[in-house]
Amino acid sequence: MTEPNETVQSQLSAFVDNELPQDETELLARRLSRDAELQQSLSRYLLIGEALRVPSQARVSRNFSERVAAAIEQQVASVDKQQGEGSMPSRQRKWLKPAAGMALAASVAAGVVMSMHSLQFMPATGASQLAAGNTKSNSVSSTSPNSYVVPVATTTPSVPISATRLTNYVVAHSEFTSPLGRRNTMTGLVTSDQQIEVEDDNADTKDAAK
Amino acid sequence: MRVCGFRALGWITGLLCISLAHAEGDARNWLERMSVSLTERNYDGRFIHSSDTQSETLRIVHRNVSGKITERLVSLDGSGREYIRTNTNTTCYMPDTRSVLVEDRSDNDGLLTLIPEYRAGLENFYDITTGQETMILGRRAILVTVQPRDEYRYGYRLWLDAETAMPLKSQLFNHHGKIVEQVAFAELAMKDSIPDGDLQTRLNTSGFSQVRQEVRRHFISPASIGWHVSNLPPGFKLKVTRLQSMAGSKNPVRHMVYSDGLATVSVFIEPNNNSEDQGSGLQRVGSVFAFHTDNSGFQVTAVGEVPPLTVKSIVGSLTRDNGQSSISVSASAAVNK
Repeated sequence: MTEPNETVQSQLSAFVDNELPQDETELLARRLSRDAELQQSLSRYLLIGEALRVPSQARVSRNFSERVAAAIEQQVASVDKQQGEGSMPSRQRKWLKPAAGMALAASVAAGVVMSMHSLQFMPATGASQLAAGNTKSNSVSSTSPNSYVVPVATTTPSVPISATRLTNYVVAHSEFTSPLGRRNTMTGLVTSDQQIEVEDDNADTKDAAK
Repeated sequence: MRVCGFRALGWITGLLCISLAHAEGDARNWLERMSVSLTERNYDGRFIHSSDTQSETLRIVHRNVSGKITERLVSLDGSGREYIRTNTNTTCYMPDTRSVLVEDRSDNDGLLTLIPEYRAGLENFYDITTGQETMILGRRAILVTVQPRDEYRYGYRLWLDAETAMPLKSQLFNHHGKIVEQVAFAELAMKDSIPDGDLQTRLNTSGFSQVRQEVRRHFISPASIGWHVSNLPPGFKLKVTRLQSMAGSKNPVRHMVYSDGLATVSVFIEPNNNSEDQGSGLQRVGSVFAFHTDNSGFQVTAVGEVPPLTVKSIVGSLTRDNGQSSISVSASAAVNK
């Protein structure tokens, strides 16, 4: 029996979260009925998902959540406009939301390829060569009309550190963590569990101050 | 008789101390074995990452060929994002924004292959113990608990495979025992070799925008960095000072790394000439907290897998040294890695 591929794994996870569209659910059910290994995978997801339930602890600033939600809606609307209304499946919309921060990172980083030339403490050779070498790929600037990156979203004044900067800091920091810490750190970047502004009266801080 | 009694008591106390030291040493040995396995073994697994706000399934593929590390981390049910990291570059695929970010390093990143040493002094800040064997994924697992002794660091509960020391399940918790993050493998295969295809993205990236940036780093002396933390949390010591180029920063960024032997905190300092980042505040990326503020015309940010209190304390006592008038450091002052 072959190992379930990533697409099927993704469907399994969505199924466990009750977020798999009906048509895909029926396909998955048929596949489950004849694939014992897939059944075992599903059992593991269900069991481990159950075992991993963590009580809610953190309190996220309500204002911040509202601001992020507004920004995300704006982002989704922009993508809808480019693709045509209703063309994006609801699950894809869900994927877009947590990536709003990375969209900012990409849009800012696009401009950074140019700004790297101005670094004075090192020869400005690599970046320019790399930028020039991007012609094979679909290299774009932040103003490219075909890009999904939305330049207008690059400024979020209420966030102390921009997504670009925070991501760069975390990646640079991960080089000095333990192997376990590195895995956890990179996981935080890949998952949608990021870029949350935490209220100053976080439980840890409060507890320590007592 | 009384002398004999004291002698016996002394022997018992001595034996107890030796026994405890041996137990702690044994637990630290498990931590080192875990680090070796995570770095040097080949493995392919799927795990569920869970925090207080969400849970997500990811796949990790890790290959080591004669010190050349390649690691692929992909979100299976969230953003679909994917990181592929080698000794010389990091690539981030973002299907949700149809973008690819590539960070190239001119130097070979030997840091990825370094195995940390967990010294005996670690017990001043953590109580490290091994527990009884349990079964995880049908395999024998040893529970290693790293309990922080104060509120400046997180603790770990690690269920390590008895044979390979791979962490089959791990929990990160704060000083009060509250779980911050959990990772549990649903599948884990240790392999002799991993084909190239498993370390390449399966996304069709045609039409994706691509951004490349080259990152250069130079290690410098602590005296050259021009800043210091006057009131460090207990146990944290300065380990690394370096300058590095960074996307979005016109000037080289100063990077200081502090560690207590297990937890690390990075401090980044750069001139405040970016209108995007303003004010002070705390942000979070998974279990990593970042605290940012302005200090004497510079943006200072502490980042680490530590409680908010720790990053805030470090930033709060970050002081610029006298006589430092410019952030610019000439190439001649920088020491290559």
